[in-house]
Amino acid sequence: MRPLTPLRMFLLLAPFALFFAATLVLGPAIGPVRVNLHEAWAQRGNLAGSLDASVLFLARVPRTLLAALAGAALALAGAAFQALLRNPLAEPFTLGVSSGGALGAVIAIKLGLDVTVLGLSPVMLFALAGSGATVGLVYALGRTRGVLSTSILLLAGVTVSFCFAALILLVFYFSDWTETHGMLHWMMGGLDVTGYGSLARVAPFALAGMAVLLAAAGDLNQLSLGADLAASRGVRVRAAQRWAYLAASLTTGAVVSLVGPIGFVGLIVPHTVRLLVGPDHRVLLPASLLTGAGFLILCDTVARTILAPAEIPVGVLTAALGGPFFVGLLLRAKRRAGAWE
Amino acid sequence: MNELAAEQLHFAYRADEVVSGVDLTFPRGAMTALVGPNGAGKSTLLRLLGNLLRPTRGRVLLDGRELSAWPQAELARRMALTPQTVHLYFPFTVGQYVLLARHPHRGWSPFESAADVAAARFALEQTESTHLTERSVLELSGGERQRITLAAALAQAPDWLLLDEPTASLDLRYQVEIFDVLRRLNRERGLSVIVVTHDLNLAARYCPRLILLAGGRVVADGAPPEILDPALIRAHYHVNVEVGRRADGVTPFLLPTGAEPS
Repeated sequence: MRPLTPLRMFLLLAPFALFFAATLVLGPAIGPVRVNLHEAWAQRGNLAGSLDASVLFLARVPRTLLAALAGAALALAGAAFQALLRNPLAEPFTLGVSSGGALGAVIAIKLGLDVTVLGLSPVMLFALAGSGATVGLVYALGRTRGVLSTSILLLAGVTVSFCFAALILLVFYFSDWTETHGMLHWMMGGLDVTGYGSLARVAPFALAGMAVLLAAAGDLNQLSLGADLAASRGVRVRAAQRWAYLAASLTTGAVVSLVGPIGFVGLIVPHTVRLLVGPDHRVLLPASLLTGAGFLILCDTVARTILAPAEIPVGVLTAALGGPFFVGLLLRAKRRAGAWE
Repeated sequence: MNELAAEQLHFAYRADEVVSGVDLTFPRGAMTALVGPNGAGKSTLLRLLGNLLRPTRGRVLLDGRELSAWPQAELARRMALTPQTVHLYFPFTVGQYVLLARHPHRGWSPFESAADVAAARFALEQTESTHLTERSVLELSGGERQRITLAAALAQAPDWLLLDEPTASLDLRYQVEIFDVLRRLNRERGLSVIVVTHDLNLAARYCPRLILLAGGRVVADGAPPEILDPALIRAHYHVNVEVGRRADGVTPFLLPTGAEPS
């Protein structure tokens, strides 16, 4: 028997923290342009006057932080959705958060609005609104007599995603070449957002949602066993489901509004981490967070250097890695079919 | 006061009343079986008693206090319920799975205490599942699953244990083993047990009190010889049975002999 003690938790999480720390240091140091790090650090107060300093502090560091935030958020939300839906194949976008965000974004691009609210661009605002509306709709559809039905939630999420995909195509159909280019670019998901401004505006939402999820790890363990067992062990099932669902959606929606739908991170990372540390969410959630952050920094570093000076959208890279992984997963699930079902 | 009591309990799924006007008292320390044909309302009654469902009318009281008035974690320290089937999708080890049942005892701490480990060890020993501790719950046989489901409920260290068909799909030996564990804990530790079962013979063998439900009502409530009565069984199960007596001359058992001619 291996109970979770503070020491055990520390030992389990330490390698993941080291991985994240390593990527956090290496990410900004690597890029198509050679940067003299000593020079950059010495000139940190004089960004305008030093190319090294401005590349490092105005481009690479914020971009690395954004990759860390997005990766952490998507991986954590993915792990939470898998527990909530009691389905290891769920991910942050299963319930339509990204298709809602994408519909909002393409509408904003099509309308070509030029207003900002609280420093958020129209595309971000519309994407946030689209995600939020989708979450509300799917949640309302998935509730039966006050209790969330995981199977109906899944169906509702998939159906809403299909409808929105059709609407997105419709908007494409009525758009000209420049508009569709912008839309496609958004939908590929990318971290080429420069500066700290938008990062600082989105981070509080994502971090708040992540904090709620980390605090709910014990309840998520119980919910992953089923609502009846959870309830008979003292979990207030409805409240716990609602909070976790909203927190995971907020986390995802905030990140998607800024970087678009970066696929598969929310699926690959929790899965890999579960293979390494097991399914206990008290360890799985923080470990997924750290791994997601490090993994996306790594992918982004590859995406922006491998074809330099051109850049692969990082969403394309994660999806390219994620596809084969998903197939492998399905094959594994097929071999295990029948266990407890 | 030391009892679980249902007062004029009603429950309906939409228009269909599944439990209608049940009055029952379960004294603390008793071992009781809820029996009855399919659709009699046994599982629904158990879920009402375990606070997994809210009655549409009437109330359930534990120690004189309505279930809904208990703080949920405190109630969970008093009462555990094992559902008929538990679907698991994540590869917890058996040890982790049983430790997870300590949730209501942990409070705000995310960590497990020595008391939690002791309770989990005890539960695994009682169900003879200690050797499974490091196995993944996804790789267990049907019998092993039922045993660790019971182990988890025991690790919760409740005064009241409510079980929904704990021996379904088990072979004879495991059926007897599960009921042996329940009876031992009932006798030695005063654990109060309410068990829903389809097996009238096992119920009669192990439980001093049987409650026969039909159509959402209590139709008979008494010692095994009163319930395993050919006329009563025929009236509610629509089968003919022969009833014999074990060597003690008291405990009845029954053998179905054929469907009732309609």
